[in-house]
Amino acid sequence: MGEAVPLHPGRGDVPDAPDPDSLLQAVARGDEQAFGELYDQLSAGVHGLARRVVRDPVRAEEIAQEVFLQVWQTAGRFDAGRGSARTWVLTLTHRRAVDAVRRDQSASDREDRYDWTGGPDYDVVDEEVSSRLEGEQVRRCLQTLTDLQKEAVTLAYYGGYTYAEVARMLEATLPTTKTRMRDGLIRLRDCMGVAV
Amino acid sequence: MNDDVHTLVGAYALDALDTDEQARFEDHLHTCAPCREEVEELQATAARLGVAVAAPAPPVVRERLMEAIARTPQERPRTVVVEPARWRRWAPRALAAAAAVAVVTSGGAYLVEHERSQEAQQQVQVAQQQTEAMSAVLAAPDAEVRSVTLDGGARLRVVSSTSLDRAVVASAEMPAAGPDQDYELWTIDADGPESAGIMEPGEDGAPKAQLVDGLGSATALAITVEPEGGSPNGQPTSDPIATVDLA
Repeated sequence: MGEAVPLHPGRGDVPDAPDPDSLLQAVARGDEQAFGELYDQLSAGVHGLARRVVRDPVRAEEIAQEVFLQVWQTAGRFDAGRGSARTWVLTLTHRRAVDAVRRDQSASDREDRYDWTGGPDYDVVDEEVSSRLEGEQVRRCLQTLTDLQKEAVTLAYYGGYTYAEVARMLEATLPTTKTRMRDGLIRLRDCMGVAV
Repeated sequence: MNDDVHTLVGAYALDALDTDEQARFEDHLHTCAPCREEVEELQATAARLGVAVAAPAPPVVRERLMEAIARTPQERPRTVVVEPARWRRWAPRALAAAAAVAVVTSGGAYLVEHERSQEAQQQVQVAQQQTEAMSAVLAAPDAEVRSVTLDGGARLRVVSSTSLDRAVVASAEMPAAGPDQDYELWTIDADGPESAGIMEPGEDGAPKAQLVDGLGSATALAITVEPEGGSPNGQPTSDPIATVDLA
């Protein structure tokens, strides 16, 4: 006769302060309250990022709504072994925001409207930073990039430009631009100590 | 192009590829584990750039969402992570194609293909509900597992969850019940045994995993061999071939 063994040792009751990953698991099981809590934890990131990329506040709200609805619908498909819930949600957000801004404006318009102040876009993080600590760390770590790496990364991430567009705007070759984006992100990763 | 594909990982993590390039790179990711790892890290890094510009959304967004989800269906979960490793033979298996549903039987997974026909869809739905209910038991934080070995080498595993008031009973190397017989499950409490249903045979005749709904105050589960269709009088007609204490 076998002895009883706990199948999930150490998990007992629901934890006091659920993190996005636990909440997302609950959402996958249809837990609407967990969804609300997940929204409360992540919505500022989602909305702020959408707002920064698409600029239009109404469009940003729509994107935030679409993202969270997608999270509700597909929470069961999220593979926890492949990164955090927060990264997943923000990646969904960034994709949608970038698609929206590319659809809404033609490529030549967008390149023309780029503000050629001549220097790296330092102010990009100063605007609308409500998460001050996070903003400070990102600002500080962006300093560890070369000017050209920083320009390439921020034009792509906050501006939604493709690497081909960035190459044209910075008057660099495609391979150089790809390398700057990759090396820039690697430096950011190392500076911020990103653990997946 | 193929030599360069790895150098696209940064641009990909920044969503800086055009649609075609993105699709091609994602195809490449399927075959390149180092790229996948790097993409994960760099996407996590990029996400920090996003958090840095966080700005709260107006309350109406939350209201609209809570109302929308109440009437929006979810996709079925595709995977259940069950520990420890020895459970793999009994756990519902995730499959790469979202269209297939695995129903647990002894000794392996029985596939129900998601076909277009109405009947097949209904079967899949029932199978999915069963699988979901069983998966929920396996995933419950208070899940407990008990094992019994029968004479002849057949093995039974019972995973029970007090919070869900349910258990999953699975068998391995259990012979098919005789031609006019069925295995019947019973919950046993102070009042005696109560039927918890027949263990349905799978394609190979061996009993499939069974959900026991409503453990209540049961102190044990038992299996007996009964006439086909189960005991005619609501009570076991013979001694149990196996008993699993729940207390």
